Amino acid sequence: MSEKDITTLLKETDEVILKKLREWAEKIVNAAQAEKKVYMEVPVRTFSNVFFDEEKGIIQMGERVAKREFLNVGHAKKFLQTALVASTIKDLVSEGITTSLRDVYYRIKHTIPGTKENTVDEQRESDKAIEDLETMLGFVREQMHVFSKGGKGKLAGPIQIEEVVPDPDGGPPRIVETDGENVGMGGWAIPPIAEPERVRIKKVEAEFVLVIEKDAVWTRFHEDRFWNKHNCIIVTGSGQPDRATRRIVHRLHYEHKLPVYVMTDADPWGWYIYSVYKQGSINLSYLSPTLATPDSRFLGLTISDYHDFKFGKEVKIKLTDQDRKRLKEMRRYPWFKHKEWHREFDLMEKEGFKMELEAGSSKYFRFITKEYTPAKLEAKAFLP
Amino acid sequence: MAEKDLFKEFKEHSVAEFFKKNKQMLGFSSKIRSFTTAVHEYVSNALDACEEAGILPELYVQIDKVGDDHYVLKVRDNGPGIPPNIVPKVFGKLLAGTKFHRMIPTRGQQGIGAAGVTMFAQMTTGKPVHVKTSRGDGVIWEMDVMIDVKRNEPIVKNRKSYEGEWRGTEVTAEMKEVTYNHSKYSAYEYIRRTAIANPHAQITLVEPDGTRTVWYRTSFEVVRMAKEGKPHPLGITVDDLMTIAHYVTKARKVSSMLKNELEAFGDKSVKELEKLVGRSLLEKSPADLQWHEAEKIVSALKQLKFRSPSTDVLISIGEDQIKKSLRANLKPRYVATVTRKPKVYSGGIPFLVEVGVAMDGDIQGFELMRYANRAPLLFEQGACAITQAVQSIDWKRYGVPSLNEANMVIFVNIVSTHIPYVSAGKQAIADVPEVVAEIRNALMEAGRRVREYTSKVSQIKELLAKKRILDHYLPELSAALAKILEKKPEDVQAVLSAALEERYRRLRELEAKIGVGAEE
Repeated sequence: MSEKDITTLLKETDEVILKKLREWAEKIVNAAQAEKKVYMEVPVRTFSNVFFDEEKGIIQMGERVAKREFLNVGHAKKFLQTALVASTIKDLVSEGITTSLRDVYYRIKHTIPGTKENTVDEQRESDKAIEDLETMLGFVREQMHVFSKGGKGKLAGPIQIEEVVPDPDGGPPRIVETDGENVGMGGWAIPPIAEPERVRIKKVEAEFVLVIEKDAVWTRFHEDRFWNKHNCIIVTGSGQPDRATRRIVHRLHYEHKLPVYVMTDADPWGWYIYSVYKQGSINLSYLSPTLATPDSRFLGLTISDYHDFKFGKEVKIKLTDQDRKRLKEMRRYPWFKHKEWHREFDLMEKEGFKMELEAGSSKYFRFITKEYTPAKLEAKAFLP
Repeated sequence: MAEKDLFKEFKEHSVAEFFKKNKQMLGFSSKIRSFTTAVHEYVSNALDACEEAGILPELYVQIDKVGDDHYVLKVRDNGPGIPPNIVPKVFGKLLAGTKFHRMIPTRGQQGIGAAGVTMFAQMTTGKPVHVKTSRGDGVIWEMDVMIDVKRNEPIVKNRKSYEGEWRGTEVTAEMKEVTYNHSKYSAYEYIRRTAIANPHAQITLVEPDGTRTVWYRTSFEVVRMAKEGKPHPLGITVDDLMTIAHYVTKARKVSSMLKNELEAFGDKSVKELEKLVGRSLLEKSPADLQWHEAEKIVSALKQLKFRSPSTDVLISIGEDQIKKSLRANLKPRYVATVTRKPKVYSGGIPFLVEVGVAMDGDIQGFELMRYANRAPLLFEQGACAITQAVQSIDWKRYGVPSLNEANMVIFVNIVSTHIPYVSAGKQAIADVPEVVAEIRNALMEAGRRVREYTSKVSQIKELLAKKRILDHYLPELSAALAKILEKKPEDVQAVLSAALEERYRRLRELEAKIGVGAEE
């Protein structure tokens, strides 16, 4: 990672974004002048333009772009919305403010003079406009000062972090440092924007990253100082991870070469969450290169674990129709096309039950941190 | 009156009585229709004659009013002329037409022929028709022709010949109890529609008030004359068979008559037919053939197998020619035309369907133009399979919400050696499943092209309608882009607005161009 001062990095990023925005707007106006057409070219984000890059192991977006024309009956409104969001981003970046998608929606929403029409009726519309700008400008919205919800992720362990905290009065931002070993029971809350220009991973002494699906289970690991004993960083996204949590896991793997192991419930939903950390989702395919961690490995739980660790049958939860349906869908994911995974799918389908990470407590409270996880790490018993 | 009785009476009574009693069926019913029928007989004869001789037809029709319901009709062509000794037969002998025993799709198949007009003229005014003709051999013949109503033989008066360089035939008939106007059943409409379906013909019409209208030709191709063929056993009607038996054949037995006069009918067919109708019937003299016996033979024929008639005899106008003609005559904005491949009905009668759909431009309101072998069908529209097929199409699917409100002309021409008419009036196509299906196929094929046109038009209309909204969006868009560019909003707006106006201008131009040759 660059040794540049993090505030310099932020300033530079902001400048590049402003420049790109200006070029984008200039392109529209110049084309209007030269070609007498008002249009922008938006990369296509639909399924037809998405493919699984076998080599890199991630979902990627294809090359196709769609021309969005202001004069086209179906495009005019979207065109206007995109321009309004772009000008909002210009404000945010030049004023050094970060804000949420919801705020952007309210910021641009108003009645168009002379009509009874609103610029946007639902947040979905402004969200789409931001996604379009992300693909057109080549920056993620976090770099453009816009986040979603955030705050779901946390971590603890041997890691030192520098964070940029904007100054409310427009002055230079403050830098706040965190020592991951010296945090309270809540750990270090991953901020909504975890881009390198805002969060700098200053020093890491851990040997691997352990991602735990559920925050309650993460608390067990934290209280037991698992990170200390096993020299690792423990991360949770509290269920379905937000983008910042996935970004941090991605950065720990790529910037610091740490192996990533993921623990989820042994159920189709949990395994899907693993797939989100690993591959990313189809509708955010254009973000895969910065969010996904295709090298991550699955530590558990599996139905095989039920037998290997001799759990009692009281931990079994019957599969629902919904579970079976999801299982069927996941069989088709290219990154689950490994015989190890298909064996687990078959086993779950055949035995007809699922189980949770907390099931270990049926033996004793610290079973998961004292026995189960160490045994899996020791045996390197991971699924691809 | 049934066709059966028509024939019986024709034998038993004088020609005059026959004609009077069957006027309706022969097309001489109302005042307006009688005149249209007269024009039809002369015009179709003229066109057929030109085509047979390989001449590009040039017709001159003059209509003069001499009193109330009293007119003089003159039709002149540039055809091959009629040999002077044949003239009396053509104009002075009922049912003596040469077309009866031939199986080529000619217009004159309908109706009673030129002698019918002579009869009508004679009956209403007591005057003969006047014929002038020359074969281009330097001699021009003129004569008056009447019919001896007792013997059904021509009476010729004032016959003369003189030298002159001209070729063609001109016939003049004076009639009472007729009317001429521009209504949809009128002679005017008949001529107009004839001109549209015969783009190789030039027709000049001079009306009673002196108005002169010329329908110029849009095609310079002489219409191909088909190989002549005999009637096909599967297509023959009882009416046809009776005519052949009583007026055409020279055979002494019904069996040899069938072999001589029908296509694809040989000794093998005679044997097969014998099993169905019995030997004695086939041994009979054709002159003694009764209606019910002819009926028996016709229905038995339908059970036998025959070689299919050749489709070479079908003469279509062709997609290009219909398109050119509709463009020239109707000045529409859009035309789609379809000429289908030949099909067969009743197990073996060849036919083909061609349609044209013309829309907008100078066209106002909806009009259906029906044709059989290029001859307009003006009457009995409601009973016609063409009408039925047109109404059965879901035009909404092709961007035409309602036919009655559309500015649209639908042109349908049925070509066949035997047009399946509803009745002897020969003004409506019968509801034959294969024919209806084929008309529908042709209309739907044209409809799919119409949809491209209608959707283009509505798309652009929608875009133009959107302008008002875009005008409101424009300041918003300009302000947003201006903020990013740190420019004045009005400067950005000036550029965008210029681009928009340019696009609108081009859209309006594009809209004007749609249909007008744009699809070719």
